[in-house]
Amino acid sequence: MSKKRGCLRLRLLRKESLPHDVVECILERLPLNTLMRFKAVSKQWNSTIGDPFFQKRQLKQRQQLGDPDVLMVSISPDDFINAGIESLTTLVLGSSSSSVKIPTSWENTLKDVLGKKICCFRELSGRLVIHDPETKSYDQVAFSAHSNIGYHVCCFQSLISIS
Amino acid sequence: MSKSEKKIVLKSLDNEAFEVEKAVALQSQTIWVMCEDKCVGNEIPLENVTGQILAKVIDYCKKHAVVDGDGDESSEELKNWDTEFTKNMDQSTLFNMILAANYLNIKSLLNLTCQAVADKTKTIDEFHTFLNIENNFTPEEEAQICQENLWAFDD
Repeated sequence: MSKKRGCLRLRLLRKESLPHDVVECILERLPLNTLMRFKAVSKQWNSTIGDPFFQKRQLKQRQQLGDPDVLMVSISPDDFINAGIESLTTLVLGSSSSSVKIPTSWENTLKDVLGKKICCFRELSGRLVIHDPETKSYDQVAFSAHSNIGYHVCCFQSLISIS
Repeated sequence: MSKSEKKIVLKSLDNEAFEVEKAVALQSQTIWVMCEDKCVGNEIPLENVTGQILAKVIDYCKKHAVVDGDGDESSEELKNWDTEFTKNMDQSTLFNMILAANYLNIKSLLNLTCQAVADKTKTIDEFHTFLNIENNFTPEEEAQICQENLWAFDD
């Protein structure tokens, strides 16, 4: 009997022994909305998902899978103080060859990115403009109010500054 | 290099022995380092991997060694093979495959299995089940695992 119970405990230990870096390896393959829900799983998950380095890896991973969660483009290069960002005039979406020009006029460009939420970041105002191709709506929101969209703003910028 | 040196024996936790080509085994960075350091003979004990899981890991390594070797198969075919490989794995097997891939340090297999979990697991509940405890052993498997780990209960 005691051995039986001991075995159950051992199984529990075996099950829980997935190292956290491996858990991160799984998490970085999940879509943004799932991750946002998973923040409620534990303090550790919450801190991982909130970590900019993790977010950067997640964004890269999802782009490699050809399924980036948020595509960010500027409305006009003038919006950016940082000249480095201006140089990003096209963005390749994952493995597909479709690239997107930074729009000078919204409608023409956004058609190319079917099904993806377009997130436009205006650095000067510190506000986000989100375009949803499905509803064809534009929302202007403050950063803090939309953490799930603001999520990738910083790491996207870091990606640009790396390349 | 003599013929015997090209082969290597991997021994699982439950004492199952697998003789494989060295090139197959060396896809594991862990085994590679062991061989490089000459800290093992021709037989490598893998104390964290059961025979059932090790057999699958070796299947994977064989497949990928062949492709790297002669380039007969296209990367498309390999990708399909990978998909089939993880498609019907139950959660417990997948979990143990991840542990094994991590322990053996086979990056591509770790990526593949992590991706499979990410694809199959959608809800928080599913993740809890996956990462915590999931009792889907048959009584026979359970008894076997208890038997294998008797030492752990002696204190």
